[in-house]
Amino acid sequence: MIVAGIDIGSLSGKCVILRREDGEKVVSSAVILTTPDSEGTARDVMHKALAAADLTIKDLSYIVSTGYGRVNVPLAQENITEITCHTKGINWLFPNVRTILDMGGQDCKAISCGEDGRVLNFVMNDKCAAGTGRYLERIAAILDVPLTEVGPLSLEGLNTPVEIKSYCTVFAERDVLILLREGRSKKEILAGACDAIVKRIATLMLQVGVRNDLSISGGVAKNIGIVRRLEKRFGMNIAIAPDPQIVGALGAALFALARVQ
Amino acid sequence: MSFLRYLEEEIVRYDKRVQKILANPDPTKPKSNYLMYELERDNRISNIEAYKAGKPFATGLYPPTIFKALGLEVWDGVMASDRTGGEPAKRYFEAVQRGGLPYQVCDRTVISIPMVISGDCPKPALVVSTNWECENIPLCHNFIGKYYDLPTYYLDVPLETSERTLEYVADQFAELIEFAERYVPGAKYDEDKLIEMQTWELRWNKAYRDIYQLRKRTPCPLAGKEAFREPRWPTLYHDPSRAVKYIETYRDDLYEMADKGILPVKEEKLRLMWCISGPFYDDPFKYLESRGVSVPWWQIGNMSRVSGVGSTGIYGEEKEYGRKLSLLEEEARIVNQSAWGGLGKRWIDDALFVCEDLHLDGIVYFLQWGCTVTVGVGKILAEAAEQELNIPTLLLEGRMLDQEVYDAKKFREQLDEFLDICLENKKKLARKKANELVDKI
Ligand code: SF4
Repeated sequence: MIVAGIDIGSLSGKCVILRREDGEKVVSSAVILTTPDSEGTARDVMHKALAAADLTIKDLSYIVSTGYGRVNVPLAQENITEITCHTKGINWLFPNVRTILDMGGQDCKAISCGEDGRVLNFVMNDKCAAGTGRYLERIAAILDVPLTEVGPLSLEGLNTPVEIKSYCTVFAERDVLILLREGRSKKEILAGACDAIVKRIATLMLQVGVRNDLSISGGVAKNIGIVRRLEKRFGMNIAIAPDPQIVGALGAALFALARVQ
Repeated sequence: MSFLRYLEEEIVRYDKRVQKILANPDPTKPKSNYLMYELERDNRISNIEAYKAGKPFATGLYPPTIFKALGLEVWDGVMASDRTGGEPAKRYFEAVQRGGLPYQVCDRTVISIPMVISGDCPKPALVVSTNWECENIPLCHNFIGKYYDLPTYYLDVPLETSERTLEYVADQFAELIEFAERYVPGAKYDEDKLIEMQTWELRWNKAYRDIYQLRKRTPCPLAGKEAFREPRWPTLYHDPSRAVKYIETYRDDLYEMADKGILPVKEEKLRLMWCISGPFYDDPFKYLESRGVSVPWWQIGNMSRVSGVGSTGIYGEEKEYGRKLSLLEEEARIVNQSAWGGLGKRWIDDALFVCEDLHLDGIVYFLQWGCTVTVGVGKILAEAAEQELNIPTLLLEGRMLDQEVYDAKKFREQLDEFLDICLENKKKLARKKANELVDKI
């Protein structure tokens, strides 16, 4: 039996094709950029994933959509919310995970889940840039450091971090300029920025309650500076999905499979 | 004159609504809606007439009963802000940003300031600033007082209710009356008028209590939006008798509709409490109704107490203090039991009481940005609701009038997710109850 999960996010469209044999197996996946036409994005990303597995739409028994544009995917038989699908996907990958931090450029979610992969509680911050990837993007831009180097450099500055007192991104940018003028190094400033963002994330996570294991996904999962700091802050095992971008689509595909069984 | 233009625009707006309802009545909505719009329209007409006649206005949300007894007109700036949406709201927010004013404070208080500066509300002759409300509103009233250099009375409301605090506040009311008579030309206290005002308040309160009883029915006969119909005291209006007539007719309409089976949700899957504020430029309640969810109750600081639920007493009741109170003590009793500027414990106790009393399955707590009094209460309420009632809470934040930071899709996403959690929890609680019953047998 073959099914598909489609995740239409605000930036990218993802699709996972899942096959049930002895267990569930990911047959293929695809990621493309989202266009204003959610329906077209869904069709394109699905065809890309199907082509990679040498399949056609007729081979699919069920399709579930998720994500920001999930209601505009007519080819899906059902749509399920993003948080539920994301949690399902993480639970399949890491059955011991009970807390999930999903932090992208635009928002940040802390989710508490049960052993069956059900969402027990969640909080989302999509208002304050200080709790999302935007904060680090802005600071990296001022320091002229590629985003991929922010994490490693912030670890090098661990012993002499500076304190960025302002949570607000606008004021933090001003703090960074002052620190640069005072002669503090980029590493030290990045260490301070990562410390600040971890404090903010921790507040969000504490709202849902933090239980072992912890999984991190979204763009922040690639920032080793944040991951290490969270590991230290909560003293927890951290699980990171091999391909964090497709976790939501994976969850949607798992729901699709459950529907046809 | 800007003030008149502002009110004239509002008069046109309300008149359009009245005409629309009269021309095309919607049987699914309370018939008395037209009375409400008529009341709002005519109140603004009276405001203009009073302003033109040079009558003194008092501002401050409390005590309108005493303002009236002093022969003053009442300007309720907070409610005026609440009802400001669309273009005017945008204009005020821009004025706030241009002026470098505190933009990130709660919307209803942010908007009040450009309203004053632009002369869109009457220049009052008296300001009463009180900690009976939250922190931001008295700050806003202080600003109005200072901006116009007006006689401003600071009313201090204690955090506890006792004979001593009753006397303390009643003495302040006596002082306020003296203060107004001394500094506001034309102000003259009339005790009979205060008795009359308290009588109107009492009748209004009784109607509101009746409406509360209706909220207990399953399915809830009130649409989600109806829960948000603000409890606006009759004495805030130029003619309190019309405000009372409206609320009593509204109550009768609701009962009639309920008895006829005109229900917003036919098969009620969930019942939720909505707290603090909401995206009033959108209609999440219609969406919730489409999913079989009713919102029988909106909890803000004073909501339950104003409507008589969980309050320790209303005008004329003798139980609480074991004696008949004087007129000013009656006023003191009402402010002293406030939850708005009162202890967080009152907020929590009131909310939990209503959740249990109305059999609610969850709480949506929409934190208004910049609201200093409720910022920490959400988390405490969520924990208390979980521990004491086993019901979940969705913590959201946003702005009630400024749509700039609102993302409808994300908002719905969070609601959807929360509804799933509530449904699952409801099933779990039902299973637990059934097992307990079986164990008993
Ligand atoms: S939302 Fe908060 S700050 Fe604003 S008026 Fe209400 S209680 Fe005060």
